[in-house]
Amino acid sequence: MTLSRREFLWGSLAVPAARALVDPRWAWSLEGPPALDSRVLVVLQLSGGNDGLNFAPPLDDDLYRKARPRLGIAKNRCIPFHPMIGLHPELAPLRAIADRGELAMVSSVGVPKPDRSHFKSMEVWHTAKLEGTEATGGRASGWIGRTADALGVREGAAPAIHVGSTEQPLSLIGEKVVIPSVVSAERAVAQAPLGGNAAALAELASSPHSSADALAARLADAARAAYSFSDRLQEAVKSFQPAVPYPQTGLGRKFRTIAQILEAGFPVRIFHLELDGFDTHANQEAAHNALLSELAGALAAFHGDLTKRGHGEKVLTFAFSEFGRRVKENASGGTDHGAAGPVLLLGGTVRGGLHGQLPNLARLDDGDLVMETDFRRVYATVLARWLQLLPGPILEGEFAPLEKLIA
Amino acid sequence: MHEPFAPIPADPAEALSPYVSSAGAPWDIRHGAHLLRRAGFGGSAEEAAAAVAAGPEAAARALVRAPEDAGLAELDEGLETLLAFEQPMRLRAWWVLRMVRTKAPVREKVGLFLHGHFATGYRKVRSVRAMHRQVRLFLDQGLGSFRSIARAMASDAAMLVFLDGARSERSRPNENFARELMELFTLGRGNYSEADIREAARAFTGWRVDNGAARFRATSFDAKEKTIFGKRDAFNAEAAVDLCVDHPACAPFLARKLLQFYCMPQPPDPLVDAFAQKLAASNFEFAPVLETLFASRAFYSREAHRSMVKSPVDFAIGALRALGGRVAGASLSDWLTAMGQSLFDPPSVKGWDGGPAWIHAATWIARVNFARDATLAGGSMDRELDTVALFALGDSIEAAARVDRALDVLLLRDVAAPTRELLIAQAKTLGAGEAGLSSLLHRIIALPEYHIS
Repeated sequence: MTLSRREFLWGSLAVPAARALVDPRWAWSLEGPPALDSRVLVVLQLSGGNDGLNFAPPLDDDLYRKARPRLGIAKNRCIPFHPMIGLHPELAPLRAIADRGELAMVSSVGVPKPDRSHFKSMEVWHTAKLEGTEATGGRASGWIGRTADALGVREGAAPAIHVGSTEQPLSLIGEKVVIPSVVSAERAVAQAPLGGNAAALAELASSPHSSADALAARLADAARAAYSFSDRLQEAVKSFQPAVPYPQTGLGRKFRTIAQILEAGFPVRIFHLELDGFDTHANQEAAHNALLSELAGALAAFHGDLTKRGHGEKVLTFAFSEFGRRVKENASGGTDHGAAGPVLLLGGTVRGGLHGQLPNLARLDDGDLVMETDFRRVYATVLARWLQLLPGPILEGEFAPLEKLIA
Repeated sequence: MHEPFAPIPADPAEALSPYVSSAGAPWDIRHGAHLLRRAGFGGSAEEAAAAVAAGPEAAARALVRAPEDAGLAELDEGLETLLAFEQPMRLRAWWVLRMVRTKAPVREKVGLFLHGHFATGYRKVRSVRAMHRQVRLFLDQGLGSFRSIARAMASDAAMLVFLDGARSERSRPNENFARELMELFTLGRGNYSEADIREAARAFTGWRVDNGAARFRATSFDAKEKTIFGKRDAFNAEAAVDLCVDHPACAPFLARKLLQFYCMPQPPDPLVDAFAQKLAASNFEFAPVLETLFASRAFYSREAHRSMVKSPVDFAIGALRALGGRVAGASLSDWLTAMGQSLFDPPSVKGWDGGPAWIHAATWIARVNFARDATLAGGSMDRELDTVALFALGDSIEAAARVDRALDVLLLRDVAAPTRELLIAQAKTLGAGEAGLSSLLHRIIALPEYHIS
């Protein structure tokens, strides 16, 4: 394959100092290449507060054993990942990915001045502002919404999609672009009218309008673009043959939907999806095992499928939770709301392994792990190094991207 | 063909004077359909015909003065259970069913206007009870005084949570509500200072929200003197709201917003000013000014007619009101969410921006798939409808007659000749039975022309 313009443009990664919202070197995208020629970011929200310490247990830390006499994960059960830090046994499906260096973890990511309220913490992660909505009230927007505004609608398609049927998180609210929710690829395809096919609808949208009806012409353009996407999606749904089977779990189906939408060539740059249930105050072990099994199974299938079909380096998945949990387990076999925790990055051109500072259990803040990396630096990294956007205007503040996290 | 939609008169007094039918510009079914779509959520061909028979002024009067629909009380059965459980989905279902069923749609529409105006979202409020109470106020009193509604917002539980009044203390007043009250609810930018916001915020202190209900605690209220818009007194919340409503910028600000919601996307300034004068003269009562607007030449002008993209609510509720028949509220509100408009959850305190931004690939597909679901018996909305009875044509008639009747049923007389021909060609392949008629309705609701109001 010859060096494409995209590869050429991606060759130099220094972010210019210009304050333009969209990096000018990204202007090629207006020519509209198929989506899989563009880098795609998948944001996975682990709602409820994932127990980062058991997610990635310290291997030889007596303080961890002491704090977690019942819940602690024994060293010999951990999946090897780093000399000091292992992975929870239920994350075994990710082992091969980690071994290939396609799985990165940033330890001790959090919010300066953490708040143990789910709502407040999630608001801070969503808005990328420490005061959450307190400064801007109901006018607050989310960092993904602002990113979508910067990307703009292309070829009649929104630049971001929310995969799921629950209400959209604040992170997806922008000022301009309305981000759609898609429950499944099948439901995003135009259904044929009785006694005909969907082409009949497209034909009607192509019929000329009365000259007095200027808006109708505009809507007809949008409708024709929508039908063309719908056709592509239907083809993709029909011909979709994952190289790796997706698990029949809620999260597995959502990732399968993303793969189908990518297959159809929608120019979508960001997907958002959610796995809920991490608020494990009591009997954590069974619940956390089930969640991590669902998580690892779906992630491994998605990444394996994309990689085998040659797209693994084009899609970066980023998983976060609003906070980690208290270091010391509670009396109910669970853990309470905590502070800093790990974030996961998988695929794309991520540099595998552990990044950031190891959690220090000897230096806690009111029983919680101390933040070593501001979460907004992770956002700045995926925006600048992955999506090639200037993070400053989107995050409404300057945060240094993490070095050597994304190649 | 006559062009009954004349340009808006340059003289604003004339623009707000009642529309007069003439030989060149006859008052006809397209006017009736326009009135139903804008004042409410559309309706049936029979309702449009009744509006035409009544004439502009009587039709506007009948709509605006329609008594509350007592039949809606049926939907309140089980409301307590709904409020006791945090199920916003069922609250959405409750409101959309009111919109579909009501005999007084102007009330629901003004409620939607106020919901978008004082846009408060469940996403942050997290109390179905508080959200219900707020919207109920908009529905029950929306046609009354805007001043009373704005006053009520200062102590409304949902608003107190949404704009952080509930965490506002005498020692540490939160400015969010004061800021949005001035910027988005009454005055618009440039008509107040940061000092006005700070001072007004003090007047709004003292409120707490417990269990979805607002409570006043005199001890955390700042009872000292404040200076707002150059006036100095120990203003309380009501007085501070009144200062905003009585500010000279309020009537024009609100007039423009009402005109943009009901009449045209870009109302000319003289029209805004003339409408603002009427609003101020009525002491901010909505019913009289809406009645004037819905009969006016501006309302039936070329600039207003078919100038707006239907919101998902306008589109979906309008189609269902035209088609009639039973519908399941929860699935209907799911469709609205898929189209980009989740009630009780506006995207921000600015409400829904709307316009052409409503339409992109995913929302368009949701609209046309809704059209299919709405025109078939059963389906996700558990529909019950009788298309043969709706057409009332018998089965021996021509495809052209079926198409024309379907366009009438859906209040769409604005389809160009080639599109009508294409519909007729498609109708010929469909037959006049239940399935054929459903399919024809689906195709018409999927026409881009149908999505314009």
